[in-house]
Amino acid sequence: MSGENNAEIDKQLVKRVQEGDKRAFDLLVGKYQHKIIALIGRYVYDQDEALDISQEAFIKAYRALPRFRGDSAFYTWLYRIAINTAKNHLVSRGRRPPDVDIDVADAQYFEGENKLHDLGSPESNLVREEMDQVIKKVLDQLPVDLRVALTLREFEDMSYEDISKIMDCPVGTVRSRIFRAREAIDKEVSPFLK
Amino acid sequence: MHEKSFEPISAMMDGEIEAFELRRLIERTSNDGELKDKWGRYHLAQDIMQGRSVEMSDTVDLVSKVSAALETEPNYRTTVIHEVDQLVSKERPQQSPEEPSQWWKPMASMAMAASVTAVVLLGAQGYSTDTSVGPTVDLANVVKANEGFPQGKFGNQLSTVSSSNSQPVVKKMAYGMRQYIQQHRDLLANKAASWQANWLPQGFSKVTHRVSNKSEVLLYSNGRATVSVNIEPMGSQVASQGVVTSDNLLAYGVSADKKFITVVGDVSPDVAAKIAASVTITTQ
Repeated sequence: MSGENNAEIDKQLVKRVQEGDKRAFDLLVGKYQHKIIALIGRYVYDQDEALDISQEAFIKAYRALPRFRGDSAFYTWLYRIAINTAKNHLVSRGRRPPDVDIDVADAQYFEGENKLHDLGSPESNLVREEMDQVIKKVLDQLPVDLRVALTLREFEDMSYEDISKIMDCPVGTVRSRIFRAREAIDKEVSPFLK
Repeated sequence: MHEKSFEPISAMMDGEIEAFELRRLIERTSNDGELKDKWGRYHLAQDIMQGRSVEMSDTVDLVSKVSAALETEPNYRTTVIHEVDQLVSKERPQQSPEEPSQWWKPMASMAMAASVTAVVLLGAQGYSTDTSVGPTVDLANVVKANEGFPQGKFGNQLSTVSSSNSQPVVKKMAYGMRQYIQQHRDLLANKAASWQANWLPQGFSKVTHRVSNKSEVLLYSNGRATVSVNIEPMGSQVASQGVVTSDNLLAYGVSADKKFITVVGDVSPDVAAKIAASVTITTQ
């Protein structure tokens, strides 16, 4: 995950859910759905099955949320629930879960020792590769101030304040540049999801 | 929608948003599919840029599915209960209007309350002091006004049922309450144990057993240490086979003959495995 700010926003969303705002959970689902489905896809190779288990994992997470105290990051906690849900699913169908759990750090990354990219569906991998290329192209074509702001944020995990010092501009300008860069990417990404 | 209105979503992703703005944004997003989609796509693009593993499919929309599945789940606010014990209430001195009601107990006492009294659930008075989340209910006034049983619904809605009805009716069960009702029934049923452990470490004997419709728990002790054996139908267990330790306790789970046996106690894995292997249907 990308640093303290990311964990902080999760913490705030979790707190909102715990305080009774169920809708805040939608944002957590929206944020993590693709990662959780990919994680569960390492246990079951059928996409529909992975979707069902992912849904079950999120529902279990919601039900367990009152007991979540924030000792670990929300994603780490959600990841454990997803893994256990996948394993229970396999056991309940008489299939043997893997003996070794997937490490949370390995599970997140596309490339790695476990060659995660081999485990996705061919269509999924193809779409992903295309989107990867599109995003790189958009980044290359962005005006330099937008590209630098987004790069410092996404790859260096810098706060808006730190970026504003480096770029010698107000924090509000950083916020706007990052947003405009994301919008430029989103404009090219969204057709892949329709 | 004007492009500018998505900017807070971008800032929220980065945790660069004030609490009041976050609250407003969550409310906006919940009613705006476009904002929800934007939030999801921004994260997807971020994951791809940062090389994370993501499942790509145009059919992935867990947000709607999970949201629909959670429709009937309660919101997490402090849920309070109304203990209804008519015998006690007849002897209870009249409360002055200023006196806070002592009938309302926090959620923590729910298990005990469920076993001795009927419970009525109200969604009200949360941990949150944030009144913007939803309407709160003045419980004391509700009781006073209705002189009946406040009747639970999810969320913050209330309805009442006449006190002439001697049996309080709970229209919807709060999440997790059914287990207490089942537990109560199980205690009343006092069924005989149908399973037994045929091997135990020296000095251990059965202390008690509990039979539910789904599982059976046997507790053994030698006066110092205890071992419990849980037997349940295969598939209904919540754990996979294996061993877990926590402090001084070990839990050993194994499946055998369409049942799942879990041994818990301050014993070694070998002893736990031996106990589990000795479990058979009782001959009585």
